[in-house]
Amino acid sequence: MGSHPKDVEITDDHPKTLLLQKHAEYILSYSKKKEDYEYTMTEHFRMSGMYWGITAMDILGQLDKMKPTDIIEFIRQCQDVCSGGFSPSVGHDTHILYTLSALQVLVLVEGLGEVDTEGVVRFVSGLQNPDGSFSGDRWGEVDTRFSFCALASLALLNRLDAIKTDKAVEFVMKCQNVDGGFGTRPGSESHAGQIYCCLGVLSLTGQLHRINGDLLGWWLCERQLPSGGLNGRPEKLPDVCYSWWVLASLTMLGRLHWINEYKMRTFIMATQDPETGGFTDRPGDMVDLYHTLFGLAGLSLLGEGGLKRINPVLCMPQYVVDRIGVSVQILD
Amino acid sequence: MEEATCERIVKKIDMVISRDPHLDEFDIVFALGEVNRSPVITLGHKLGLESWCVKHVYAYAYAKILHARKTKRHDDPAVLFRWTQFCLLIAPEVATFWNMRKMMLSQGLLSADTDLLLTKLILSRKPKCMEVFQHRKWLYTNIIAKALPHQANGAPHPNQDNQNGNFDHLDSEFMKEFLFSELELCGWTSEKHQNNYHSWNHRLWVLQQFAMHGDLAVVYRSEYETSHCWVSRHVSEHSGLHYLQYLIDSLASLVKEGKIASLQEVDPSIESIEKLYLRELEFNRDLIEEYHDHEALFCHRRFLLLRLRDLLYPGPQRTSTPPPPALKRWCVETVNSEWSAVLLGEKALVNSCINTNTYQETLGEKHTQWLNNILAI
Repeated sequence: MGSHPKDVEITDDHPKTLLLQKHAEYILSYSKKKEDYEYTMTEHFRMSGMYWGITAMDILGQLDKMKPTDIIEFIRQCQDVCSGGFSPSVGHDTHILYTLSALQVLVLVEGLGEVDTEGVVRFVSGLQNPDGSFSGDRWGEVDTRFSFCALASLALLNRLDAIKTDKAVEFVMKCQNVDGGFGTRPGSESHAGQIYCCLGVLSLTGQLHRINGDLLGWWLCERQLPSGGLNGRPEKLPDVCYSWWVLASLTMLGRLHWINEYKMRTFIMATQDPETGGFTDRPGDMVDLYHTLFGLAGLSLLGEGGLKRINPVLCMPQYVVDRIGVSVQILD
Repeated sequence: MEEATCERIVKKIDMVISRDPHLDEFDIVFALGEVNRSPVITLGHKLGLESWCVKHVYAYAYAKILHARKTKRHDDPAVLFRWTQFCLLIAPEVATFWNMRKMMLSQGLLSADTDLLLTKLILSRKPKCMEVFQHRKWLYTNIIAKALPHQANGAPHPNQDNQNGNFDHLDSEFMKEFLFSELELCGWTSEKHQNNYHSWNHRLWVLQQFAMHGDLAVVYRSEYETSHCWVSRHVSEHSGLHYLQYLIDSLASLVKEGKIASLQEVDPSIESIEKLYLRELEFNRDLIEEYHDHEALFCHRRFLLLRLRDLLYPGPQRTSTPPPPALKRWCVETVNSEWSAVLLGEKALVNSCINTNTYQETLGEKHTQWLNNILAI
C-alpha cells in the first residue's frame, strides 16, 4: 500500500513525552521580550498572543508566574471608550477577534470588573447584521469566525440575550456545505477552523442537534494522516493547530474516539522543540505561542497527565468555565 | 539608521509606485547593503526593496503612524499615505493601517486606483493575504460601486438626474470590466499559492457580484470553461474543485429561476440539470483514472454523488444507517436505471483502484466506506 503523498515523517529523534517545564519557560521568556523587531511585527495581534500564552500557562498549572495586574492594565488600555470593543494593542483599531481574546484573559485572571462590560455588550451586539451574521468591526467584513467570537464573548458575560441568537444560528447553518463542513460565508469551502467556530456557535446556543454528526464526523476524521497529524482541508499538510480545531469539533460531536488517539499524541509530541520549548506547526519548524497553546490544548482533550482539563468550546481551562457558571452543549 | 534616510526610502518607494501604474510585482530582495546606494530597485515594471533596510524603515514608519494616531495630528495626509503604504507592503496583515486608508478613501483623500495598485503589488508578494482581499472587496462595495452615477443594482442614485438612459448601460459595462479583471487577479493569485482559500473565496464573491449586472450566461460560460481547465491542471486542489461545485450548483439554480434561459447557453451539449451533474461525474472519473493518489478528486466525487442521488433517486427514506440487504438490492436494481448506472459506475471505479499498490488503493477503500456509510449502499 502506498504511503500518503502529503504527510510528514516522525522519527526516533522527535520528542515522545511532554516537556512541560520547557514550555512554561518558553512562554515566560516570550512575555518578557519587548524591544526587538519581532515585538513590533506581532503587535497587531498582541491581545490574542497574550490569550495564547496565558491560557497555555494555566493549562500547564503555572498561571502563578504571570502578573495579573500588568495584564489587566494592558487590557484596560486597549478598550475603546467609545465603541466598547478591544484593540489588539494600544494604538490599534478595535476588532471582535481581540475583544474575545481580551475577555478570555480577563475571565482567566478574574479581572472582568476592571473593564466596561456593558460597553463590550454594546460593541458585540452592534456588529450583528440583519441576516444574523456578524461583522468583525465597523468596516463590515463578515466571517463565521466573527459569529463565534460574538457568541463566545457574550456567553462569557452571560449576556447572550443581547443578540438575536436564532438569527445567528440561521446564518451559520447557511454556511454548511454538502460535505457537512462549514466555511467563512455561504458557499465558501469547508475548513476545519471554521467548522470549530460554527459548531461552537451551535453548542453555545444548544443547537448541535441540527448537525448530521456522522457525515461531519467522517469528514473531520479524514483530516488525520498516517503520521497521526491532522490537516484542515483535503490534501493539505498536517499542522498541530488542527489538533485543536478538529479534536475540539469531534469532542462537541461526541466522536473524539473516532480518531487514532495514540498516533495523534505521537504527532503532537513530535512538534515540540526540545531546545527552546514551545510547539511548531510541523516537526522541525519554528515554535510560536499560537501552536504552543493549540498543541497543549489538543493534548489536554486527549487527557494528557499533568495538564489541566480544557473546555472544547471556549478553549479555556474547564475550572475557569465552571467558576463563571457557563455551560456548553456536547453531544453524547 | 537615521530618520532622514528612512524617510528618503519611504519617499522613493512612493515615487516609483505613483509614477508607474503598470507595476506588477513587488518583493524584498536579499542584500547586505552598500553605502551610498539606494535600496529601492526597479526593473521594468518590477519593484524591489533590499532586505538590509526593511527592519529599520519599517520600525521608523510604524512608530510614525502610531505617533500620529496618538497625537491625532494629521496635518499632511500625504505622509500618512506613504507610511501606511510602506508598512503594508512589508506587513499587509496589519488591519489598522488598511482601516486608516479606508477612512482616507471615504473622505476622498485617496483614489481607489491607488489602492487597487497597492493591493495588487502586495498580492504579487503575498498571494494569500486575507486582509488584502478584504480591502479590495471593501473598495469595490464602498467606493467604486458608489462612485458611479447609478447604483450597482440599477436603481437611480438619489442625487442624479435620470435623463440619460445610457448611464445604466455604461455603468454596468464598467462594473463588468472591473469584475472580469478581478477574476483575472484571482486566477494568478490561485496559481501562485496552492489551495489559496482567500483567493477562491474572493472569486466566489466576484461571481456573486455579476448577478447584479445582467448577461449571466456570458460569465458562466467563461467560468465553466476556465474552471474545468483549471481543475484538470490542479487535481490536488480542493479549493478549485469546491469553486467548480459552487459554479455548477448556482448554474442549476439560475436555470431553475429562469435567470439563464437554458444550460445550452453555457454548453450546447448539456440539455438538463441531471446531465450537468452526470457529465461532471464522468469528467471527475477520467481525472481519477488519469491522476492517481488525489483525495481532493474523491471529495469532489462525493459532492456529485449526493447531488445526483437527490436528482435521480429522491426516495422517501433518508437515514444514515444502512438499509437491510433486501432493500439494498432493490435500491440498485429497480429504483431508477440512471441512478443504478451511477452506482454500478462507483463499483467499477473502486475496483480499478484496488491492487494498484499505491495510495489510490487507500482512497478506493475510503470511497467504499463512504458509499456504505453515507449513501447507505
